[in-house]
Amino acid sequence: MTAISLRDVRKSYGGLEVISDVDLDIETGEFVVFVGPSGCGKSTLLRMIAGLEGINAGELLIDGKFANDVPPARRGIAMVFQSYALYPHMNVFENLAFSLKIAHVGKPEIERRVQAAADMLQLTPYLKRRPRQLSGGQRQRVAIGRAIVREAKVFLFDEPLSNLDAALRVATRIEIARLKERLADTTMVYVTHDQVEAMTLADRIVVLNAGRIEQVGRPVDLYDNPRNLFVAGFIGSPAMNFLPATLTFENGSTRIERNGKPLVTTGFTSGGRAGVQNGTLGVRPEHLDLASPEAALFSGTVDLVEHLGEVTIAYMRLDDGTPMLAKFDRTRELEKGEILHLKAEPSDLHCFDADGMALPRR
Amino acid sequence: MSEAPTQATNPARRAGRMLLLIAVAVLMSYPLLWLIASSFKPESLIFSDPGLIPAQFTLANYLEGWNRLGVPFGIFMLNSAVICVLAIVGNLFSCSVAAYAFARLEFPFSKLAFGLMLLTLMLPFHVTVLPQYIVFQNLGAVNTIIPLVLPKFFAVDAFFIFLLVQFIRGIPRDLDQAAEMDGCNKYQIFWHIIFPICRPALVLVAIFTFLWTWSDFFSQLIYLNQVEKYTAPLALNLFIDATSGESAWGMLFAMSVITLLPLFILFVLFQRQIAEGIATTGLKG
Ligand SMILES: Nc1ncnc2c1ncn2[C@@H]1O[C@H](COP(=O)(O)OP(=O)(O)OP(=O)(O)O)[C@@H](O)[C@H]1O
Ligand SMILES: [Mg+2]
Repeated sequence: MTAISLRDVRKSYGGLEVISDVDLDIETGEFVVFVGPSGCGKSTLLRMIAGLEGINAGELLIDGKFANDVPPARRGIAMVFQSYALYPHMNVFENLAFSLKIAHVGKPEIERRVQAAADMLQLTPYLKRRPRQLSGGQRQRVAIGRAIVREAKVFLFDEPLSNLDAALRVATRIEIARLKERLADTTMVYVTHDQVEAMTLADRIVVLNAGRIEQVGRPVDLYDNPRNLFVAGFIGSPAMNFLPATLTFENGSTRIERNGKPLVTTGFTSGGRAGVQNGTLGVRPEHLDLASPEAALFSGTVDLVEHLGEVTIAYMRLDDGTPMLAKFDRTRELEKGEILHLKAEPSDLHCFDADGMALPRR
Repeated sequence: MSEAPTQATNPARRAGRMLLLIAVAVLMSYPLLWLIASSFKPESLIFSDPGLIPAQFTLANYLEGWNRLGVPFGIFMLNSAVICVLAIVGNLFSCSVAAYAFARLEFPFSKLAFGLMLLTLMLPFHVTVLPQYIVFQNLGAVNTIIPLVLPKFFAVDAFFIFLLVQFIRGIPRDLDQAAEMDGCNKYQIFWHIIFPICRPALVLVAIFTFLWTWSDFFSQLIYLNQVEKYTAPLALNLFIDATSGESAWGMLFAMSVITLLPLFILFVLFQRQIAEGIATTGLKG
């Protein structure tokens, strides 16, 4: 069943359109992650679903019912704020119980639900504390607890982990993954900047750019088959290498040349295109491997080497001046100024036309 | 600020600063100390022996002064207290509601209204006294406490509203929105979230309202004209007999000390909250 549908939704602030033409269906129980560069409208879209921002045009359906004008509290939606937004003058118990108190839920029922949420999030020892007496991670759990207590059908998270340090972020991410398992019927929409959070938590990722959806898909689909240059560059870390290439479309297939030399690839179809275009060839740093000079697709000089422990990243400059990153196992000893010859599996190459759209593979 | 620690470690400078502060403190509080000392002296010694240590100690001023005006002085204190309590309740309620509206709600001409309200800060009190008096006279409310407390329920103290607006603007809007998600309407957001969080600012409002109302002489003089309804400051005025020049100074001083007592107690009790309020409201320049 569809929990949330956005139909051609738009939002502008005084003439400036920040959300344009967003069409999206989120299934019940699904975990959807919004990613995109800062200012692309992720929070705005989330807050439109929550009801905290109005919708200028288009329709929002919740459980199939028109919900543009339904007040936030009646949408069956709970939200976890980036700043946690805990009420500073209430203790943890009161924070958790607040929505139920406002809804006139009976005392025993409030006790039961708060206790259940506190148990689930290991907050029981802190119920009497004020938010400022809690650590960042504990505050985060209280914020999530507030959503759980309401037994909302939909949880919205706006960058919930961005205020935590790296270790705690990993721990809390795993908690959220567990929460997702326990609350399998709860639909979750999650905004993040973090690639790892998006890849690990999401059933589907929505890539936003300048208020538009660039692509929606399972994490691996976005990784393997980005629809355009933007998604290709956004998903994956370090980002995909882009190299200028000349594309010639002939008889439904594509020939790729770099610096006048043809490249052997498993065929990209032309997708109906014709003629010659200046396109882009894409290859991920982790898909590059050392090769003999004769078999190499790319050759370049190492500018800088970064040792990250398990992997080593080489920042290179190709013969024609294009920068390129390659990721190797740590077993590889690399030196600055060294000339590397690299190859990649043809199936790991991506090709984009002059408009930045990916060419379909055969 | 950065050099404060080095100064503090220099004992000579520290002692010098201490002496200076003590000197200033004594200088500032000398009139008050003199008032207290004089209230324990027999009437005849007040001006002939103006030192701080009384040559002769007596409680007569207190005992006599308490009942001198035909009505026990406690009644005047009570009258003052009633007016103060009502004024505080009125100000806490009305100024915070008004401030919430200015800080958080969007309504037509809200900016203009806020500007006008700030303008009233510059309006001298004396300009409005006469028209106000006529209004209350027509309402038949003169010689009651209504003119003194009723306006407080309609957010007339622009300064407090301004103070609270600034404070509320500092509260993250996420809290309002979290409360909205939790099912609160605007009134509930105000009552359950904004009002309690404003506590440090509200303490200031309450204390300043108390101070200003307790020591207000002018408007109480205008509106109250029966001795039984008099407040403490008005009662103190009765000890000064301007026509015969035979004022009961000793009793005046004694009753003044009693009148000051609540202020003193208040400051001792709420010192911490006052400091906190001044720090968090940005009242300090
Ligand atoms: N109240 C507002 N008035 C005017 N413009 C706004 C308002 N809120 C957001 N915007 C604009 O809308 C755009 C999208 O903002 P939004 O907060 O949704 O971005 P975001 O994707 O969440 O960014 P970030 O990742 O930095 O949180 C931005 O360009 C922002 O400047
Ligand atoms: Mg955001």
